[in-house]
Amino acid sequence: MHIDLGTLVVVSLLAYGLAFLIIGIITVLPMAIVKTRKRAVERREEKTIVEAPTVATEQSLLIAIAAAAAKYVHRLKSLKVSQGPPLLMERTSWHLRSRMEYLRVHEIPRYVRRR
Amino acid sequence: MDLQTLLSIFIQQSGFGTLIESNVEFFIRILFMVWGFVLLYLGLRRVEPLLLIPLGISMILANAPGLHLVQYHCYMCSKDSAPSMLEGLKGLANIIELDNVYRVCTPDATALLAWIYHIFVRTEIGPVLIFFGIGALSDFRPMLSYPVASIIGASAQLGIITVTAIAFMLGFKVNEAMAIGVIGGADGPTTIYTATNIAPYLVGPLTIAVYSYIALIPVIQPPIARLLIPRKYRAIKMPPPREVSSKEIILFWIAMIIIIAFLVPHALPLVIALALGNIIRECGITEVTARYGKTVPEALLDIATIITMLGVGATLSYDFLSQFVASQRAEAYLEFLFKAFLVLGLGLVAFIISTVGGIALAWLLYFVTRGKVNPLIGCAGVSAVPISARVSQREASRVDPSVYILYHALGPNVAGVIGTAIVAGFYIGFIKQVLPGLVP
Repeated sequence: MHIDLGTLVVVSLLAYGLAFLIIGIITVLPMAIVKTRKRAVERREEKTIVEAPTVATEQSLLIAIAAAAAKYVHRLKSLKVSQGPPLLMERTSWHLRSRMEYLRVHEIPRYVRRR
Repeated sequence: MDLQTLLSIFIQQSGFGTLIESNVEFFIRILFMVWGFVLLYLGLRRVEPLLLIPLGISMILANAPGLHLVQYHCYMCSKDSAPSMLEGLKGLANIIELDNVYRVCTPDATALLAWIYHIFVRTEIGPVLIFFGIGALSDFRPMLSYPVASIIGASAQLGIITVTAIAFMLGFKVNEAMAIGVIGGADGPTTIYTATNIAPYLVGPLTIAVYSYIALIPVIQPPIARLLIPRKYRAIKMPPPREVSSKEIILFWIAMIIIIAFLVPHALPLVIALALGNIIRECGITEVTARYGKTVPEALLDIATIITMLGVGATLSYDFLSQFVASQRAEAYLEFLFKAFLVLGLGLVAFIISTVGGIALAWLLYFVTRGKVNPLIGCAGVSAVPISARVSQREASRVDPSVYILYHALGPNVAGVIGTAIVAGFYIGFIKQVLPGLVP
C-alpha cells in the first residue's frame, strides 16, 4: 500500500488524539470511582443518623443486644478454661467488639428500616 | 611452513587482515570505533554515564577489526521458497527484502554481541524490563492528584507527530519516519522498543539521539520556557495537591491495562511492565515491597540497562549494517551515516516541538482554571522523568524561591511516559497491519 503525506498526518493525528483520550479517561476514572464510593458511604451514614432515634428503634436495639449477649454467654462457655484467663478475656472482648461493630453497621440500620 | 607464510597468517588473522580484504570495511569500522570512543568519553565526562559507557564500549568491541562479535552469516532465498519457514525464522534472523530475493542473516554461534541484541533487544525483553524498573521507581500519585494537568503529557507528544511528517518529507520511509518521530517523546526504552519493531537498523542512531537529548534537557528547555512564559507567570503558586491512596493507584493501573488492551494492544507490553513495577511499589505488602521493591528498581533495572545498551551498541557496527545495505559499497554506508546524523538533528527538533506543545496546553489550563496552573509545568510533559520536572521547578525557583511546583510537574511528566507509549504503540500497530513488508 502506498502511503502519502496526507495519510501519514491523519494517522499521526489519530495517535495524538488517542493519547489525549486514554490519559484523560484513566486519570479521571479512579478519582471518580473513589469519590462515588466515598459519597455513597457518607449518604448511608447520614440516613442512619436521621432515622435512628425512635422508641421502636431503641426496643429493637435492646432485642439485638440481648441476642448478642446470649451468644457471648454461649461462646464463653464453649471456651476452655485451660486456655487461660488472659486469652479468654482477649477473645471475648474481641468478639464482643466485632459483634457490636456488626450491629452498628448492619443490624441497627436494618431494624430501623423495618420499623 | 616458511616464515613468510607464518607472517601472512598472522597478518590475516589480525585486525590488519580486514584492511587487506576490504578498504571499505576497515574505514567503516574505524569510523564507528571513533564514534564509540566519543560516546565513551562523553560517558566518562558524566553525560548519561549509565547509558553511554556500555553503549560506547559495545560499539568499540562490535567494530574492532578481526574480533567479529556481531558476525552474521547471510544467504539468499527465493521469494517463492517456503514463506512460512521465513516467517518462523523472523524471530532469530534478520530477513531483508531485496529486488527478487530475501537475504536471510543469522548470527554466528560465537557472535556474543549479536546474540545479546537478538535475545534482549530484538525480542523487546530489554526495553520492557527497563520499563518494569521505571514503574517500580516512579510515583504516579502526582498524576492522579491533579488529573487535569496530566493532559499536558498527551499534548507534549506534538513533537512526535510533527517530526514524523518532517522526516517523511525529507525522504525517510514511513516506518523510519515514525521511529524517528518517537524521539520527541523523550523516552529511551519506548524509542528502542519502537525502533526494534518497525526500523531495527535505525535503533542505534535513535537510541543515541534520544539519550543525548534527554541529557541535554536542562540546556534545551530553559530558553524555550523563558521565551514562551513571561517572568511573572513563572512565579504562579499552585494549590496543594489532593491525597491519593494506594487503592486508587491500583485501580488506575487496572483501568489502564483494560483500555490499552482494547485500543492500543501494541503498547501493552510496555504499559504492563510499568504497571507491574508500580503495583509492586504500591501494594503495601511488606514481603513484596521489601524484596521485589528493592530488587526491581535497583539490580534488575541496572542489569536490563547494561544489557540493552550492549545490544544497541552492537547495531552500530559494520557487521550489523552490512546485512541491510543492498550493495557493499562505501556510498551505501555513508548514506546510512548521513541518515544517522539527520536523525540526530530531527531528534532535537522533536524535543523542541514537544516542549512547545506541553507549554501551549499548560497555558490553556492556566486560562481555563483562572490562573491556578503555572505554565512552566508544560515543560514536564516531555517524559524524561524526572529531569524535565526538575527544569520546571528550577525555572520557577529562579523567579521566586518560595514557589514549589515539582510535585505538580511530576504529574505531566509520568503522564508523558504513558502518552509516548500510546503513540508508539499506535504507530507499531499501523506499520505491522498496513505495511508489514517494510519491517526487516
